[in-house]
Amino acid sequence: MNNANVELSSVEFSQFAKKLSNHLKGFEQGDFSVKLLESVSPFQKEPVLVLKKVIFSFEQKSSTQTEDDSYVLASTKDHESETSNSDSIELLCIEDEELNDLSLEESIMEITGEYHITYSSSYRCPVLYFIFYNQGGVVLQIEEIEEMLTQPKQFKGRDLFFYNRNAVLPRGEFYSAIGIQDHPYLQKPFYFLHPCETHQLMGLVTNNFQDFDENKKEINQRDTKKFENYISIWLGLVGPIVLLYLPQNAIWPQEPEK
Amino acid sequence: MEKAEFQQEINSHVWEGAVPLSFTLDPADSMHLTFTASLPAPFNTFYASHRNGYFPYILQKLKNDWLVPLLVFESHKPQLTRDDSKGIEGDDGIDSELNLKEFWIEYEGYALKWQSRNNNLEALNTEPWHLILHTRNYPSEKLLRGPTVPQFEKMFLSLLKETDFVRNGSSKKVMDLAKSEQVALLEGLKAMNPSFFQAINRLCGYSVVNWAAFPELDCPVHISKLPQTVPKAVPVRFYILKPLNLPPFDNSDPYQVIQAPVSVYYLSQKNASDKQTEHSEFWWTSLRTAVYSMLSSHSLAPSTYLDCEMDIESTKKIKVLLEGWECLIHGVSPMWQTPLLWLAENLSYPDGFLHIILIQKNTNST
Repeated sequence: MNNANVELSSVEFSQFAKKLSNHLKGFEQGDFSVKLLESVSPFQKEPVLVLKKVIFSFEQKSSTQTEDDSYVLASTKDHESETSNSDSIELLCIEDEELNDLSLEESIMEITGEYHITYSSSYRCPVLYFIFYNQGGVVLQIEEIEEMLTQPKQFKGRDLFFYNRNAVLPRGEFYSAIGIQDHPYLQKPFYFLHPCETHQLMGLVTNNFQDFDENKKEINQRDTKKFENYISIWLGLVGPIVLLYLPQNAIWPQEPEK
Repeated sequence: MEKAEFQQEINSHVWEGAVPLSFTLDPADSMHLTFTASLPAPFNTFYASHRNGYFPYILQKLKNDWLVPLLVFESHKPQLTRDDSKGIEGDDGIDSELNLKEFWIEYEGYALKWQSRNNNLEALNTEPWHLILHTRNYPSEKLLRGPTVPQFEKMFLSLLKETDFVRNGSSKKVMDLAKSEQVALLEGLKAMNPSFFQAINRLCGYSVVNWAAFPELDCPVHISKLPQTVPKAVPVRFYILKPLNLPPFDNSDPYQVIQAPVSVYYLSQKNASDKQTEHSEFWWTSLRTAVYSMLSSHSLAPSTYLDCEMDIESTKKIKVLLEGWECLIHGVSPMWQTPLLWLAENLSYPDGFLHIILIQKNTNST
């Protein structure tokens, strides 16, 4: 597979990020915001596209329900409409008496995901940085993120405070996908998704970028028109790993209407 | 000195060199840990860290070899006014009181990052490096909590993947490591033994350039002399210490990091333009060119010399420009004409990056 074909240059990234930012601004609402950071650091070359989204919000259900049900909490309806396959994210809280054992001191009512889409000159592709914090602004620790993002094991109660049924990362594979590294411009540690497989991944959908010439039976150069969707396609693929679901019609912004 | 001897000399300095660190336990934390109401005499220790050592290992050692014995001793010291019911009971008590995840290190008001190499800031300082160790009140708004050693090791491997990608265009070498090789590598990271560095060098891949064949480093060389084994680029991290003419950085660090893959050679453009002989010559990228092109592409130096051919004239101008900067790698200032590839092969850090510290000299300030 030819890597060069899926490499993204600094100029392309800047251009596409700006475009996507403008596009996503149309989907902004209460718990989803879009921001393009262009001058956080005096040395910044490429913009950073920041998406902020409430990923979990827990409602304490009304007392008419049974005891057991009151701890099964689902994400709010707003999210379901945005989630691509409309599987709601369900969370199971542990028993009330064990709430004291939570490593986050306050009980979690809401978790916000802040996603920074940056450019990596090493990998020549975008990199997804993120942090999760609760309603009090307390940043979730890596063990908590691991619990949230890895596939649920048999429910054990004590060492879990909830689990996410949509988790895609196999248990044990967490650290090969997610790490901690300094944010390229904010200079503080963020979690990030390892970009080392991005080229292979984008290579798998590479025909989206190529223009197949039926007559000559050969592949032309990269189709620039389709290539403009690089970032949104990539986000659509990797976002779910870290619970970032773009609004469904935001993923294919340039798709002609039928 | 023989070439091999010279190589060994450099290796032993980089691999076995130590950085003296001085740790003082934060006074408030000492009071807390020893249950004294008044300020105890400062607890201070010196620690010779490997030049390439990482904080997660150092903190673990400090805890086990210094703090725990110290506190056991303190808690058994007869004290007239001590309230025994509150005292730490036995080693288990001390151990639970000292949670490594709460440890952090302060240097002149800056909370140091656990994931940086320990000697990021050594350039700022006269040795030994005076640090304050905190065991409580983690500044969680500034720093994500440090990882455990196993987590740190996984992160280290991901850095290696990145450097592998920059050098070779894929992370295959690191990803193909057998489990046993990985384990051995991480054992070496902890112990900082020479076999670890040899393993890292094998991973990065030596290009075996015979530098004696290039006596004139400032001159172009015929393309046929370019060794087949040179990497695509080398990963470099530049640390720019607050330049005086820029507004202060809006963060908790006294430096800014710019990371970039830098090509180890560049092709002469003179002959490329007449189309008959495409790129018949190349130049080795020197430290000077690497630093200059980074500075100019980030508007820290005028970029007028970047596009034109590196002739004697522009080299001269760049030389003058760079007189305002001091450059440190592993605590020493290499000569500006040193080829970047040589630096990358001899002075890279265990994570595979070449970490270059740049300090703007005071001379221009008015």
